[in-house]
Amino acid sequence: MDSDVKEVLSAFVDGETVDIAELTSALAEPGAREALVDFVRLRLAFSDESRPSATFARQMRQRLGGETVPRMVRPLRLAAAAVIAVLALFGAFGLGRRLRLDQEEPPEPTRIIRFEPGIDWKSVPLGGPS
Amino acid sequence: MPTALDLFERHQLAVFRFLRRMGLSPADAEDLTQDVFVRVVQAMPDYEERQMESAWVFRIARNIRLDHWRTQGRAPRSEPLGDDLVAPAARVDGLALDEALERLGDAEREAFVLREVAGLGYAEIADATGATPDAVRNRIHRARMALRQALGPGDGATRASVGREARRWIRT
Repeated sequence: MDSDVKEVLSAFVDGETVDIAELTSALAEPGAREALVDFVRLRLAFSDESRPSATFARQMRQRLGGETVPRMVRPLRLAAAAVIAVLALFGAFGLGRRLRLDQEEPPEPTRIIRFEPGIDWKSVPLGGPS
Repeated sequence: MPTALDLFERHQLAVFRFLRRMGLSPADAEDLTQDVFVRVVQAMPDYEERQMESAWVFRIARNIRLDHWRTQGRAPRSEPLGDDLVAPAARVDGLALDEALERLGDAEREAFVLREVAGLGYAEIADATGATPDAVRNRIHRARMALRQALGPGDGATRASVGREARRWIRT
């Protein structure tokens, strides 16, 4: 079987676009079936199950996850978050105070106590009565 | 625009396996995989959405591997493949296949590994290696023909696996 003919089969096994006429011709050649089976066997033989260590993958994720944010952006974000939190705290305090002033009228007096000078209290000079 | 972490999650296994199949030890393959993604981060401002993402990452991986090769002053010594690397159905012929892979020319080996291990299409391999798609097709075919010689006669287990693979392949 001609090697160039098998090249069509090889590309076909790889899912690449092939000329239908060339493929038909190649499949009709003696040895085409064996070649196709061998190409698939090679794929199986080289199917790879290796992987880097878990430590490596974890370290890389940490490293790359951190590097997606430029170095200067992180402190700026933290500062902005702190400013927003303080402003929100003051805003909430002020709003609450204003609402309390608006909504909470002083209670009506239940009795009125009057103090008369000389009767209810006497003026005493500093240092106590002489 | 993908983040560096997105690219790492999508391509790290393929890059690691590519480097292993190109003859690097597990430790060296990890080191170089790290270098690849560090350089990916550095090169991200130059990344354009219209580029083929896999081809872009593997162009970097290829350059890192070639730099490593030059630093060593020689072709990297191929490490014997561990059991983790060899699929069960292939263990019978594994050693002969590894040797046959090592005997391939670098261009054929690289194109074949990028196709079979990393799963790149011919256009992506062409973009990553700077070859034409026709040259890639020819290199992969030459690699297959050379490796085919190292395949022993298929045993029952292999034949069953071939059947499964063929069904999966036909469905896709």
